Amino acid sequence: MGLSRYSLILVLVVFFVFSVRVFIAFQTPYLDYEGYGVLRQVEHIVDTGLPLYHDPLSYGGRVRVFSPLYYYVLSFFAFMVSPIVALKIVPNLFLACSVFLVYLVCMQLTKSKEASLLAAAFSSFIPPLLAGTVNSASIYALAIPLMLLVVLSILRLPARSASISVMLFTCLLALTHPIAAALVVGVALWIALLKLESLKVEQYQWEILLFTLFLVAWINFIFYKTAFLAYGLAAVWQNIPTALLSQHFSSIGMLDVIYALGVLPLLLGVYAAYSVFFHHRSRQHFLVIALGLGVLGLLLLRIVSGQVGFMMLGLFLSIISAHTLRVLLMHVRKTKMAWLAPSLLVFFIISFFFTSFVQAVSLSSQRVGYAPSGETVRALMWLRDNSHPYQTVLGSVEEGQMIEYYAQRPTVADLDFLMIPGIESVYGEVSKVYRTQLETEAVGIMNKHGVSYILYSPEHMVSKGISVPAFYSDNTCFALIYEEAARIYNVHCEIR
Amino acid sequence: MRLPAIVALSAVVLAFAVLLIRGHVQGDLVLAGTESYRVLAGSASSMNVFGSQRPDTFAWLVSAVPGQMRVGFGVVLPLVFGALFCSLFYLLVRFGVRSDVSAAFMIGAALISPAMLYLSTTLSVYSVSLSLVAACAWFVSRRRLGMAVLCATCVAPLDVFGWLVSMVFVVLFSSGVSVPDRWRAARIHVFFIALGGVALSLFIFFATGAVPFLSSALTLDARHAFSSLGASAGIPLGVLLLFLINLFLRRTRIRLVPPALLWLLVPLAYVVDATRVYVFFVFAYYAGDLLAWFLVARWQVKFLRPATVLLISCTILFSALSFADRIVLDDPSPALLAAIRQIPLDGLVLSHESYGSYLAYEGRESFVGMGSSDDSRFGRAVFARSIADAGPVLDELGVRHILVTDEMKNGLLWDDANQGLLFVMAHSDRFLLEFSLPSQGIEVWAYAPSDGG
Repeated sequence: MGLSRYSLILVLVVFFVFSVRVFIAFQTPYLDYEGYGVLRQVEHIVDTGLPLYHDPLSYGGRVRVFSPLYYYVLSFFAFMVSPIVALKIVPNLFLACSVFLVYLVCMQLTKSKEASLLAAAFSSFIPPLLAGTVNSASIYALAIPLMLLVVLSILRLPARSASISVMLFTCLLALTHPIAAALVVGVALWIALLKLESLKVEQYQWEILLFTLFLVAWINFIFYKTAFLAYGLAAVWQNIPTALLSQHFSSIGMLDVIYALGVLPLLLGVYAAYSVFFHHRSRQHFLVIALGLGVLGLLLLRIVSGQVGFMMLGLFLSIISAHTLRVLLMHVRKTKMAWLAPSLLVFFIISFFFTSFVQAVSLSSQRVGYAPSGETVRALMWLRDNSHPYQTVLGSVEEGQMIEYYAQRPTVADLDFLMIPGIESVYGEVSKVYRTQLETEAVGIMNKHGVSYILYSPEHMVSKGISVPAFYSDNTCFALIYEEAARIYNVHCEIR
Repeated sequence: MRLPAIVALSAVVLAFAVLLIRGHVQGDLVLAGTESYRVLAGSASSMNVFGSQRPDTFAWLVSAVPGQMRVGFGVVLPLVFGALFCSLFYLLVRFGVRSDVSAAFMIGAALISPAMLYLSTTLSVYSVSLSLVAACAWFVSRRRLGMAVLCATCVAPLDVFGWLVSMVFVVLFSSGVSVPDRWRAARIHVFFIALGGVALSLFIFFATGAVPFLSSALTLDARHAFSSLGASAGIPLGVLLLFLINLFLRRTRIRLVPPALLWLLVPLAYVVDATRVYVFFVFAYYAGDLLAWFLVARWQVKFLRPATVLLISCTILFSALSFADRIVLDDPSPALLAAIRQIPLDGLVLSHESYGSYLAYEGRESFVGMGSSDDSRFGRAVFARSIADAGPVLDELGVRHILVTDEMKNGLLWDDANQGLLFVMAHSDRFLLEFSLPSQGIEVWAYAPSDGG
């Protein structure tokens, strides 16, 4: 029994998506800056069997709080191939496979193979999803497929097999990432929307809400207990410095939103939502809309970053757009111009190619271009061989985890802010070192954090438009000890 | 009476186990938390609405216990009253609920809770006042209104909020249970409680100077309201969720209590510190009832029922275990108390507010600033950047010693070792490190006043 035409196309789409992702990821031998945090965890699990909860390098030594499942999954693959290769391939494989899941969810909603296939294709090239996950070993590579599996299982309830898969996948999702809370919010909104629309709320929907609510709350309280004790409910903002938080959100305009979500999924998705609210009123469609609204709410409250918010929103818009596609195709086929239906499909594919695919690929290629360069990595490896293991290195916050990985030296700051006391001042001081023109101020900050070396990578210098430290005048306090494309200065003054 | 005894015994065993583990971990059996030591020292509470200069009645009563017996008393009294309260709560639940399953879950939710652990391990006025309030409610339910009035009157000089709660009980229960002409009877009883309570409180005040306790603390910070986020006698989020779900889904009714009043309990418990311990047991009642309902109701997705009940039970257990862990590791350690005992008795000891009770318990006069009107002087002393700034303030206050701990250096007071008074102490010859326990992170510095000081 061979594959049906649609199944074959679906397999080809998945294969194409995976190929594009892997091709882009291997444009550089290095990972994105965030990827090095994941890489250190994976290597630690491979070496010791345990995640790195007590990190001696990050912030000069700190406790990390996180859910460990994703790192264990990657470690499993890291036993077979080198960890860095596993981190480039496995997340992309998961996300390519999520195209299957989007197809199945859309099939559950629309029962239309053409519409589901097209929507699945839309979901594979959402610009922030592709750019944000292609080379960073992002944890969303596992969280997104798990979220889709939960949604698929909920849509199949109250079947017995579906109830088991809801339990299993919700549990795995909660063990992977706190984004599982978006699921709880989504299910609660689903019930609220059904009530608002005067539709009957089935008992199993309440049961799902209760189960997911307590499961997600309990697992997160176990893993993030110390964070909740330290910050209270503010722990959901992950202790991100306000300067960075506002920087993430201040630059987002309407055009950016359209660009991020893709014109076609946005138009089709918004129409689908309108149609579901005013004509179709399907219980299943409301679930997807509620999940989208839940993510939107988290985005507005700044609980999720713009990139994560838009990648999830794009995903739910792509799924719900299957409804519009089905309605459109159905209407066209009922008219005398039924012959136009295949052309309409081709039109959508071409439009999608120009409005989303090209953007997604170009954004991802740009992102890969910002990955650390070989010069920076060589500088850090030189530092590893020519410095004492306890000497602290100052780099930009983004470079922190990469310095910890390659130089194996303590850093002042990196991108994992949770559980760091006085993060506002630490972040402010690190930023100030790269801006200040006063040598005494720079030395004061570096003395405070026990910094011995300061890194000026070519990527950082290009992005900030600088070539030498603004405070650098001569070799009195800062000795230039490594001078290639990247520069490393040794700090040898002390303010008393 | 066998079941109430078993419930009481369980409460004692749970609380005593926590205390024993604390003793094992800390190396010696010492009471946990600042409140226990404040009461043992007979000190005033800075949170008392009646003023921070006078001790409250409960602290005054405990401080009358001979010094040798005081710590043992501090361990035994909460255990006894915790057990008493548990028995009474069981009897009250059985009075209101026919189902054995519901009653078992209600007792479980109350027994395995941070609030119950706090009541049974910490020497605080709530152990006694809550038991008296429960006794009042129980006597009302047994139609022995004379005893109920007596119990409620006895609460008045101890805890004002408990006294008000007793009056509510008398109104609600006596109007439903005991007398045909109900509102008139309730009014008479409340009149006696009010009059008796005021008279007794005034008598104690004029005889001893002690005042009733009523916490003035109001908060909007979730960390002070929920035990899952760090509050000491707070409400576990799991129990609160169950309470809200019950109100929303099942709508369990307590006779004569309007549902709107129950919704009001949530903001009240969140904001007003004094209400939390009392309100928690209403929440536990509802949470237990909902859990029992989950077990007996028909579920459309059958697999989810045991999983959900197990999860909720785990959530409740986790809150209690997490709180027990905090009690075990809480201050003071025997080393801290020993360090305080080594501080000479001349002059004031400057430290953080958290250590004020321990200093008072060990008979050292302290200046801990926060919560008093001396905040600005305290701030000027601890955040001074030079001896020229710090010296005059310390001289004016009469400070001779400074107790510094790692917690104070890491966020409680200062953020790094070069901040404020820490920097001054390290660089001025008028400060001398008297002794330190580096493994415990404790330092005691001596301050030599200026010639004019």
